[in-house]
Order: sequence, then C-alpha cells, then structure tokens
Amino acid sequence: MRQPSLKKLNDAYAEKFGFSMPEKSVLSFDFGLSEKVIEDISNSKKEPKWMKDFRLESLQIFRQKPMPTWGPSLEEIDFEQIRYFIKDTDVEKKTWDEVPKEIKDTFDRLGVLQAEREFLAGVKAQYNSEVAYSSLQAELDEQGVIFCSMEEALQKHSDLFKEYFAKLIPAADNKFAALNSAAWSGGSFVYIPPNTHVKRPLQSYFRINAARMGQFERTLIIADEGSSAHYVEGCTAPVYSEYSLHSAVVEVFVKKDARFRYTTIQNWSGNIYNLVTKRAKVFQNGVMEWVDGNLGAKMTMKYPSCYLVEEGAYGEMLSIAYAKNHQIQDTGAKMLHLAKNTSSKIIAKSVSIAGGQSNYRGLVFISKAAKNSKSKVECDALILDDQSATCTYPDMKISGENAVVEHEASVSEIEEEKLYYLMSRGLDKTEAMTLLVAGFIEPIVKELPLEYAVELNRLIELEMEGSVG
Amino acid sequence: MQTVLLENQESFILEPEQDTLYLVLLDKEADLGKIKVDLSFNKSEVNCRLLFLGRLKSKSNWQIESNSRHFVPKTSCLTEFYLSQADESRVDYFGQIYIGQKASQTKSFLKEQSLVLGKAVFNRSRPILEIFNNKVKASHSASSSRISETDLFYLMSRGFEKNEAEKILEEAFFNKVFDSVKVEEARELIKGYLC
Repeated sequence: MRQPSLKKLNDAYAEKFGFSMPEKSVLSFDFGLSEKVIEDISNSKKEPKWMKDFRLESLQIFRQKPMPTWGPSLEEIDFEQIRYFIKDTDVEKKTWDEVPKEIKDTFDRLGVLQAEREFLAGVKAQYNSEVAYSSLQAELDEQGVIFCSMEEALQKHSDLFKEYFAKLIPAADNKFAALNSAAWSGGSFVYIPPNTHVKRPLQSYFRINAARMGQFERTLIIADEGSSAHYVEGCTAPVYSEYSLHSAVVEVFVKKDARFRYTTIQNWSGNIYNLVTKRAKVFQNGVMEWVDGNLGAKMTMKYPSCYLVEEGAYGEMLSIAYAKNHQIQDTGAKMLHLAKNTSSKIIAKSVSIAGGQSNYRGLVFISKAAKNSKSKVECDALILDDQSATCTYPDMKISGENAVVEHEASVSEIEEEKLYYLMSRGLDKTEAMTLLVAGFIEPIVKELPLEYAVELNRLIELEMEGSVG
Repeated sequence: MQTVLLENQESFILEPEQDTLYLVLLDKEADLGKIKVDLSFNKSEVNCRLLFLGRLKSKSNWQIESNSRHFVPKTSCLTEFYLSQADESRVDYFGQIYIGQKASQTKSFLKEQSLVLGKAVFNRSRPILEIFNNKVKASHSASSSRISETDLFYLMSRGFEKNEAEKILEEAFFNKVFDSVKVEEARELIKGYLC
C-alpha cells in the first residue's frame, strides 16, 4: 500500500527539484576570476572603497593559499570554469507582486509561498546570487531587528557592518574563505538588539539556478546581549551535469547572555561542491547551537565551529549527514574552549548507502585558560551496504585543568532483529529500513522546525527507495 | 589466549596468527617515551586484545600510536588504553581502526581513559575509525578527567591525607583493568607494574 505513495512522492521530488528555469539575468559576468571581475562585482553593487580593496586583497590571498592537503580530493574544481556573479534582479523587490514571473514560478514550485504563509517570520529568498525577494515582518521592525541582504546592510548600516564583517573569519582563514571574501554576493545580515527575543524563526531560502555558477553568499549575524533568535536556511538546486561550487561564509556573534540557533538543511543537487566556513564567537554565558542536515551535494566539507571566549559560554552542534551514490559528506564540528567554565556538546549522526561515504571530522580544544570546562562528543554512523563507507577523525587537545572530555563513536549496520520484527508486521524491506533510519536520526530531526522535519523525513524516504535490496 | 609483552622497542609490526593478549606497560621512569603498535589481521577467526597501561611521571612526554587493521572476515580486536598523568605530563595518542571491504563480521573497539592527577597536564587524542564494510561492529570511546572531588573528599573525611587518598583512587582506576584480565601470566605482569 505504501509503494504507490512513495512513487508519487518520488515523482513530486523530480518535479520539485529536478528542473531549472531558463536563465534570464540582468547582469552576468564571464567565467573565471580576475581583478576585473572582482572590480565589476564591486562596482555593480556600488560598494564603498574599503570593500573593493578588501575584495582585491582577498583575491591575492586566494591565489597564494594552497588547496587543502587533507580531506577528500578537490582536484576536479577548476576555478576558471566558474562564473562568479549573476544578478537576476537589479533592484531588490519588497513585495511578492513585484518579483519577476520566472523567479516567482521557481519559488512557487519550491513551496516558499506556502511555507511563508504558514510558518515564516520573514523570507530572504535567494535566487542565484542575490536576494530577489524579501518580506520583513512588521513585528521585526517593531523590535528593531535588522534582517536584510548583506548588500543592503553595507549601504544602510555601514558602521555596524564594518565593525563585524570578516572579523571572525578573515580572508586568510582558508582558501575558500578567501574566495568568498573576494567574490561574495548575497546572503543575510541579522542584528538582534539587546534583550530582544525573536519568537518565530528567521528563514532564508537559497538556490542555485545556473550551471557552473559559484554561489558565494555571506551571512553575518549579531545577537546582542540578552537576546535570542533562531535562523533557518534551506538549500535546493536543480540537477546539472556540470559541477557547481557553493562556498559560503557564515559569521555569528553571540553576546553576553544571548542565545542563538542556526539551522541548515542542505539539499544541493549531486553535482555541487559545498565548501562552507561557519563560525560563531560566544561571549559570557552565551549559547550557540548549530543544527545541520547535509543530504545533497557531490561533496560537502563543513565544520561549523564555536569559539567559547568568555566564562560560561556554551556551544552545541547537532548534525545529520546522508551520503548516497558516491557522495562524500565530510562534516563535523569544532569547539574551542578559551575561557573557564565553558562547555560544549557535539552529536553527529550519519547514514551511508549506495556507495556513499560520510566522514566525521572534529576538534575539541580546551586551552590552559579554560579551567573546569566540559565537552561531550557522540558520533554514530549507520552503514547500509558493502559499497559504502564511513570514517571518523576526531581530535581532542586538552590542556585546561579540571577538564572533563568524553568522546564516543560507533559504526553499525541496521540490526537484523529490528528489521525482521518490522517485516513480520507487514512492511517490506525498504519500508522497514526507512523507518529504522528515521528512528536513527530522530533525536536531531525533532530539533528542526516542523516543516523542515517533515521535509527531511520525506527526503530520506525518497532517497531510500531503490537503494535497498 | 597467549600473552605477549611488548617491550624494549619503539615500534612493533604484528600479524597475529592466534588469539593473543598484547600488553604494553609504559615505562614509569621515562621522561620521554614513544611507542607504535601496528596490528594487521590477515587470518580469520583471530581475536586479540591490545592493552596499554601507563603511570606517567611528572614532566614526562609520550607519543603513542596504535593501528588495528582488519583485512579478512571474522577477526576481532579490543584496544584499551589506561593512563594516569602526574604534573605537567604530556601525551599525544593516535589510534586507528581500519576495516577493509572484505573484512565482514569484524568487531573492533578502542577504549581510552586518562586520569589526571596533577596540574598543567596536556592530553591529545585522535581515535580514528575507517570502515569500508557494513557487516561489522566498531566503536571508540575516550574520556579524560580529574580524580573525582567527591571521592577525594570522602576519603579525606575518613582520615587519609590528600596524597594517600589520590593514590587509593589511582589504584582503584587501574584495578578495574586488572580485574578484567583473566590470563594469569598477564595478571602477574600487571600486578608487578602497578606495585
């Protein structure tokens, strides 16, 4: 009985994600990266001189920095075959009616409208490289919350922007941070004023729609003292035979007594290299939570980190990785304890199927200054066939006095007993395995907003079909 | 199960042919220490235990590496690592479990526990799993913590001096391992080391 519904769901998925709208860009540049391309990007955005200089300096750093020598191979990426900027709308639209029809059609198919109607506080819908549509809710304005595109923030909130931009992830951090710093375009800027609590999640929808197009969005978030908020980003992309590159940078500042949660559901198509640098700086008694779901992409390399810089700071990472069809999900987290009485937790779950490989790569660093700090790491991997693989590469460096560090990792297949039980109740093998996989990732899925939890479960169901047996 | 004491060398490359308990007792008097043990499983139905015990003296510096590589079906390995660390001691541990594509029905576990006794102690740990077969069980766990303040307080309230209480708790930490070893020959070696 379940089979037809799965088929229907699968068709819906192909319809939903396996298409691309015709390209119709107001501005777009040729392939490859040069000083001229960077200057053109900067000029088209009417940026101040300091930003143009920053971009050009970052380009030099990018050229000097070597490719990472660790982790999965990135040899296939040819930076000269990527188009670094496409802009679909020359002016950011404020109402849905003003958004061009092609873009609207894309978002309609993605369900943004419905999601907005039912769940969203404010949508920053990114189509190709720039924010195409934004609807800031009145209540956000009333609270003094700034939720806008990075370009708008650079123009309208320049002092605040300059104070925090690239201060946590400088261009020299790594090659891909340098690339992003040179070519960044789009992304969200969020500022939560002191003691302000944003009740509904701030959501952003990202989408790549052009082949060989790099998407280098940049997100900057400042949660001021005593504030709290939840930011959600979700990614989908149409299927292309040529590869694309997504290399984002996310910086989050969590001030004293603030609490911030950053949720990502990443479902890039199977041709995309997803190489992201995410970092949070957490001040006194601040709480930072990363919730990360990685399903798509040809290869993901992503290790969100928390720099716990003042007493009592807390960092948490909950992640799910699902690797299928020779995908490589190389994900993890870094927790750096730099002050006393700080604590952190990492829970990572992964599923490998049909030749997929999921890796956990993480760091727990407890400095000498971080007395009485605690950290706990749990990695669980499920490996569903003999073509797939899973690896864990944790690193724990402990110098702080009275530190308590625990690490656990386990790899297992689906237990025959459980499978047998479910099949004895009438489920076929695929359904039984899907149910068990859903149960395996449930502790993290339940932390997601409702619509994302539903979508993730549906995606897992679709991915499992045809992969078992 | 036979017992083999690994000593007087920095590096051991081993291919076990029968069930074996490999015992590594780290030199209590060494200021600088380095040891690497490679276990490659190329024969089915072989089960091994690799046990490291170390009471590291003040200001000592150790580099330790263990690799358990499983290439054929039906082998098992339990790697355990128990250390107590005095003032300013340093440990850098790298432990790998590799299970190849043909090594179905493998069981391999890595357990690491450090008891911090002194101040300014450094502990680095990299327990790595690389698994290329689904019909296996593998896990690692690592923990590093100071002697429990509650336990220390209790013993001191019964009249023990602080250093005596710490010594009792260190003994208790190693006694757990001692109790888990059933081979008489190995028990004697461990007993001699802990005294």
